[in-house]
Amino acid sequence: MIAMAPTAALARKALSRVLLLVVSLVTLGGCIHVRPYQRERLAHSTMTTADWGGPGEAHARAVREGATGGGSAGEAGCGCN
Amino acid sequence: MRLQLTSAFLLIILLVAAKGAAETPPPSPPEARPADAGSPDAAKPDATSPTSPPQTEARPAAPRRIAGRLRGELAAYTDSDHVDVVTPSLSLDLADATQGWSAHADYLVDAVSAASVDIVSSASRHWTETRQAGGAQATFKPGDLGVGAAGSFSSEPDYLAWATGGTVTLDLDQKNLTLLAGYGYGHDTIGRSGTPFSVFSHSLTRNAFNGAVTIVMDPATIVVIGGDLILERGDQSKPYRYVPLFSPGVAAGIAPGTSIDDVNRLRLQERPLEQLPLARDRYAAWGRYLHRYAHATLRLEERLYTDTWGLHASSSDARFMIDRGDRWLLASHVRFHAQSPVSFWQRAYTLTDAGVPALRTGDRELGPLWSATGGIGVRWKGGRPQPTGWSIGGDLDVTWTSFLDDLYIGSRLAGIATFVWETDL
Repeated sequence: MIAMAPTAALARKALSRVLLLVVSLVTLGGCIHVRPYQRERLAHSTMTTADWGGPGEAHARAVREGATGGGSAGEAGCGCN
Repeated sequence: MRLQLTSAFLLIILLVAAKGAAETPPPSPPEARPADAGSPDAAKPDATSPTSPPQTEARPAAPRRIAGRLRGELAAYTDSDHVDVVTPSLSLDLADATQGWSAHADYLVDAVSAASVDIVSSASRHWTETRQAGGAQATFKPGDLGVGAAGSFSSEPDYLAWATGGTVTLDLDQKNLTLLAGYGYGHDTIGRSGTPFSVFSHSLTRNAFNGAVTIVMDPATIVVIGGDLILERGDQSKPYRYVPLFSPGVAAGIAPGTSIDDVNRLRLQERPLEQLPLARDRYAAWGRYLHRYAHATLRLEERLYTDTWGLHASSSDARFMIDRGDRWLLASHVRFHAQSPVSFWQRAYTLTDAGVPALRTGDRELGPLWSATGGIGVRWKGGRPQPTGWSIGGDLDVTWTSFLDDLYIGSRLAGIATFVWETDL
């Protein structure tokens, strides 16, 4: 467990950087105001903010990569026993 | 079983509701052909038909309040480690933009056939299993503030899992900025095939917190940045995975990719089951950049990941999709993933006077690896004379994985082919 302490410190450092990035981008976003009638391109089906891959691809990725995240809350376990 | 029945029941209700919505056509002129009823083009005169009424006589179709979409997918996975998976799935989406609600339900079946080196090295020759999974989600967003709830299940003979969760979203700056906060709870029951869960099982709980901010950068660009914290508690060790042990002198000479026969010849008699830590805190930070050109879309994604087991990873994903006329969409996909091993990873665990290592694993997805994926895809929108609300298509992804410090194999080539069918209801 002692060896895991640096990992937690690294995680905190990484999260701090991400928060800083978020604040920066939010500030930048406030400078540009896109009006409803300017959203034709944003409404295209390929511009969905959800994951583009289907359930088969998502499951294969979840099983074949040791990392997770970027999905949505409420997902069941992978069942990869 | 109760969860499966509940989900199937919900799916049926949604299908019936969608059918009902689709069967309530908007007002259309008597001359309109039946095939046109209900489509956005229903009131448009057919310019190719001499019997079409003049345009001034056509009444405009009332906009449909409830929009629905049914999607079917058949995915087939195969790899050079003799694992094959066929996954048919079905999903349904309903949404009422004026009332601000939406609903989603999905169901899939995984049919798995495997004879991988991990199975063969455990003296088991072949293994097949079927997994069922499903979920439902509903959102309500009458104004700038929205709420959502979701639930899902996964069931196979030796593994049961269910999860539930909720989200809150808030639009700011006239929808140029959207904040999301979510929480999910999941419970897994891990057993052994042929043994009742009451006789043998491990429990694993999962508390997941996530947050994201979506920013409309300009009329063609969206950026999403998010983070996840997942707290897992319980024993998620695989009850089938045996870990070979070596004497210290022999272990030093075990090279990556050492074959099953050599491992069996060199290992000690003792072969304990895998044992993983009982707690894992997982952190992920991710970003998604979407840009729409005049006739193409670029999607870039990056995820940074770390956890208290010492695994660090980076996953980069890019897709470029091009419209070819009104009907065709051509897509390309590349993905690169790299990860370090967990802190207790060893290629060859040793048995010493201190005994068996307390933590041990043979799960190569916990070891050091990198993988590269390349893929192509195509979608075709059907319907005459103009593309209407249905499409078919397919994707093919090929992934090369390099295992940097593993027994048995050093690489794996995998392919996943997907056939997709979608229709608006």
